Amino acid sequence: MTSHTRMRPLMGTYVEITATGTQPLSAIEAAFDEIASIEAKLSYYNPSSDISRINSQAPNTVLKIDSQTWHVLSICNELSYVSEGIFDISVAPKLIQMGYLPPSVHQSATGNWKDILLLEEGHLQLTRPVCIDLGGIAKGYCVDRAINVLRTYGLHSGAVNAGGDLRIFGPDPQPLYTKHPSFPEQTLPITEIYNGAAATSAAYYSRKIVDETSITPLINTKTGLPLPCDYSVTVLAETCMMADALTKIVHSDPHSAKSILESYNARAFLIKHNLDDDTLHIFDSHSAN
Amino acid sequence: MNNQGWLLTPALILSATPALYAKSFGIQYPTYQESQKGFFPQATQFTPADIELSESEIDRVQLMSNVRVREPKQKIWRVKTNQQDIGWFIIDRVIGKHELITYALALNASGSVRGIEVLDFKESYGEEIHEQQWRAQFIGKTLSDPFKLNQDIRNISGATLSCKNVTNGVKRLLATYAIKLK
Repeated sequence: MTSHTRMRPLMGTYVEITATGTQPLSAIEAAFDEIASIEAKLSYYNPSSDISRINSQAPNTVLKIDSQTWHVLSICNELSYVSEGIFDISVAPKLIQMGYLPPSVHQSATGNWKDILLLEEGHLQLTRPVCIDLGGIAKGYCVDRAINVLRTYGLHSGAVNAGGDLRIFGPDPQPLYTKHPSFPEQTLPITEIYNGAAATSAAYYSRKIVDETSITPLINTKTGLPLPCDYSVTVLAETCMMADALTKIVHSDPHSAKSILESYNARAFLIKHNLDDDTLHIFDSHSAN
Repeated sequence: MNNQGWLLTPALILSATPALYAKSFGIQYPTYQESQKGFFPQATQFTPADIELSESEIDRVQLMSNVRVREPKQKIWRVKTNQQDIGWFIIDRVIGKHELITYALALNASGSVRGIEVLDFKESYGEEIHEQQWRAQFIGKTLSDPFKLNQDIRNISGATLSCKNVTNGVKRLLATYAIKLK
């Protein structure tokens, strides 16, 4: 039994896959191929992706899309509904305006998640033009699919980490680390995970100064304003897609997110850097309070 | 209790001063020879063909790729199967604000990209606190049941780091190929 780790640039970040078993390298290769094929369907940047086709779609006509894309959109729709619009993939125009996504001819679209009507599997219709980006969930979905591919190889254990969105399987629990919300070079062991997924939302890599104001691509979809960035949120869930999406909801509105976390059998750690006394306060949604 | 309770009391408070405890993770990325064989399993020969760009060539690469050239020397192998050229294997390094990355770019004989693979990945290079650990305990664990750090797999969940620097590096190498190797 051997163990191998490979890292490649995919989905705009660094994807690391580890496999332990009898033929780990062919499993890793197949898992990377799976991610590349889903990226081609879900990427905002790819002009022939389903997402680009949806963004250029006129209202009130039926559009046929890939069933994987349809599946991700149906989860997005559910999360938008339960979070009352906190999670909303129609946030792209705001991200374009802030320079986090390249300009698009569709950026004047005013439709939101409610304007995407999912018909029977593989079909949708818009009630208003939309400009969507799956940046808040697609990486997690790709991680899940890559894990499914690894599992078909009969490995002892495996891990996929797509720029901080990760999922593992195997017989043993693994330590889970996250990063200091202000100093990402410092890692912090926070809990253990066992056949599960984790994702983190934080601003340390993405924040930038525009007109003397610090901005991040983490948007409060209700106010359209960037979220505070003195804390990070790490969510543990059964699937990486759910962990990825839930971090956005918890980061945006940590107070009311607890019931949503519970309904998806997920757990959140909110790590706040308290500048007054330079301590880290770690809040756990599973704590007795 | 109510929904908001979880944010009233921290489960754990840590001093934000890092403990003097460093641990290097035993991540096994491929060696360049393993990466060569991975991209070109049918190859019989990897012939070193390192280059050094002249100043005028640097200007042309920068103009063509719109990416700055920091290092005129480039580590390159010409890949052959039984005397027939089948591609190129290039090792490159990029330095970002948060990362120092060595990666391999494999090209087909036509110059198209065959694959990209990271060979070494360091975060926050050059700082004393590189890969420093916190002497913290897992939440829900006690001191008598300490977390196990000596694991093969490291699982770090963090915000997404953009791979823009490698993407730009590849653009620069493709321009270098067009000007110097084609």
